[in-house]
Amino acid sequence: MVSFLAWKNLRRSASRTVLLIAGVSIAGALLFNMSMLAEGLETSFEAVLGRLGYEVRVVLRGTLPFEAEALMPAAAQTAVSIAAHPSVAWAAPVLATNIYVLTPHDRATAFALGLKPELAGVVSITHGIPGRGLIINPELAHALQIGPGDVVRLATSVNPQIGTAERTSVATVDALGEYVFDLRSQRTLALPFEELAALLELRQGQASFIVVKLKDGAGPDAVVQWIETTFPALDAFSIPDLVSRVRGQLTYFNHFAAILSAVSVLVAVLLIGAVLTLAVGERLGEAAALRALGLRRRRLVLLVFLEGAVVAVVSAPLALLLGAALSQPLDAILRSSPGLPQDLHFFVLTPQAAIRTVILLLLTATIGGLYPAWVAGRLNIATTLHQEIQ
Amino acid sequence: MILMNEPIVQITEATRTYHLDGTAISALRGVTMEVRQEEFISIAGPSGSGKSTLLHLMGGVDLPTTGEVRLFGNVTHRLTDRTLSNLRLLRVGFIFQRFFLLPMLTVEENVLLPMLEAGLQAQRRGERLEDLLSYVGLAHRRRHLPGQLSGGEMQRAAIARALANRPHLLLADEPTGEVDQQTGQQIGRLLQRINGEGVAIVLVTHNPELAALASTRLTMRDGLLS
Repeated sequence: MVSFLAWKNLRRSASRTVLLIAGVSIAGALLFNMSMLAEGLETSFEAVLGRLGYEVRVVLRGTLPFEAEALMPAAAQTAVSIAAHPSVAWAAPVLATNIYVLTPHDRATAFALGLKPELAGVVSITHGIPGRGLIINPELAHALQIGPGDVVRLATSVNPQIGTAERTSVATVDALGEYVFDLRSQRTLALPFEELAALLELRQGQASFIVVKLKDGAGPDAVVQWIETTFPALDAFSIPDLVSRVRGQLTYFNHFAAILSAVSVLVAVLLIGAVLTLAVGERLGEAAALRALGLRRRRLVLLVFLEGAVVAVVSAPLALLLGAALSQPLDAILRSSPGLPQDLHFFVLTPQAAIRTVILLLLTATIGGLYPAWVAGRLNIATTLHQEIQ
Repeated sequence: MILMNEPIVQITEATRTYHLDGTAISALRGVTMEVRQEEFISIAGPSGSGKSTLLHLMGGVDLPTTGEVRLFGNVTHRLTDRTLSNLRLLRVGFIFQRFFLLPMLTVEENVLLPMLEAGLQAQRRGERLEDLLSYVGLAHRRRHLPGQLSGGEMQRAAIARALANRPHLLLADEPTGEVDQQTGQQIGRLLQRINGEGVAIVLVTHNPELAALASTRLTMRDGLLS
């Protein structure tokens, strides 16, 4: 009976209820957005790392993520040693540096990756067929107006006085591709590890870092520990380690999200509390009559709480839909900041964020119903009936 | 179990004092009375004499400041809210001057409320609803909202609601206070009929014609019965 009455009570002031639901939905949408923001970057970062195709990254001690100038000596031999570990499927050295790309009419700097064939997963080919040549990203292709089949020169430096390229080699563009970790507007290319090593005149197997792919079912922790013990000059990081390091740097976002979430919850509590208090105040006579007819105090209190709960339950799906829609432009605004990998997202829709929002909305309705429920619960039947007849 | 001739309400030296802005107001000043099964009592008296307060004590919606009220053998101020509410739900019916029908519910929904709260089975609920609506002559208005009814119809709907759980005691507080004289007479006849079927009635009224229908007529003045 109480749920039936709660529903009827909300319907009797339909416009007020609709406005209340709209208000709670908007507050809930903001709450959902903040919930997505609180864990979005971390979730997105973890997803990007997961797409790279390796589980452990090895760098010179203290140089995470890597330093172009700090090359790991004998990285090729170290990679062979790591690959011999029973839990490791393969280990590959990677070179990363900035180089010049020259065409007959133009030139541009680009971030160059020297990759072993095992690391094909870091780039998604969009045009052409990768071979022994270059895989360039669309930004570089656009900057130099080049594409698959074009021949370019690569140079490690350009003389600032006379503008001539130094240490050059000729390469053919094989394919266009999107790199998982490209920064916005970054120009990137990849070429075989040996080709880039030759261009940089590295003759002793140096590399910027090593990436390690584990065998199916192998845990990264034991391998990480083994690498750090066996090669004391190196740091090894599993994906959870990297995510954990990023988490520490996201405290700002978490605080921001927590403060705005608290404001959203407060607004929803005040909305529900104000409207229910008003509604209970208008219906004191009816409430007293219901009590006189045999409705227990607890049931009357439950009736008020249920009205708040119905508002929260109806608002929740609207809040989720609105929040999901709002998160798109908000994400686009934040992702337009310079220096961010383009595959990273700030607002990531996860089941956890949705569940957390629904739970918080229900909690909000309960807290919002506290005062009006208290007013209903302490109602003196006789006095109220007497006052209503005056 | 209440035996025949055993009082269903026993009030002994009951007082009721309210405090308003620091001033003590004595609404009842030592009232002793009984209501027996099938009795029809009217209580008349000027406004503020304590009639409604006495009715509220009888129905267990208020408690005496001193003295004692026994409702179906239970001392009201010793009962929990749950027990007292159950007594009101199952054994006492209330009729109010302002009807207090829930405006967003139809006539039949209003009448069904006490049966739903009492947990009556759907089939028995339906049968009881039909009987009650026919009894008060509102079967044709069952799907109307209170706002679409006349004052007399609203009071008849309120009477049907009060009778929903077959109470032994019906407490009526100025039931004709908001209706015209002719409708008041109809309400009076309906109350007489209900009493004739074994329900004890305590009626608070200013209306002498209505009061005259009762077998026992009491008058209140300054918080005392005479």
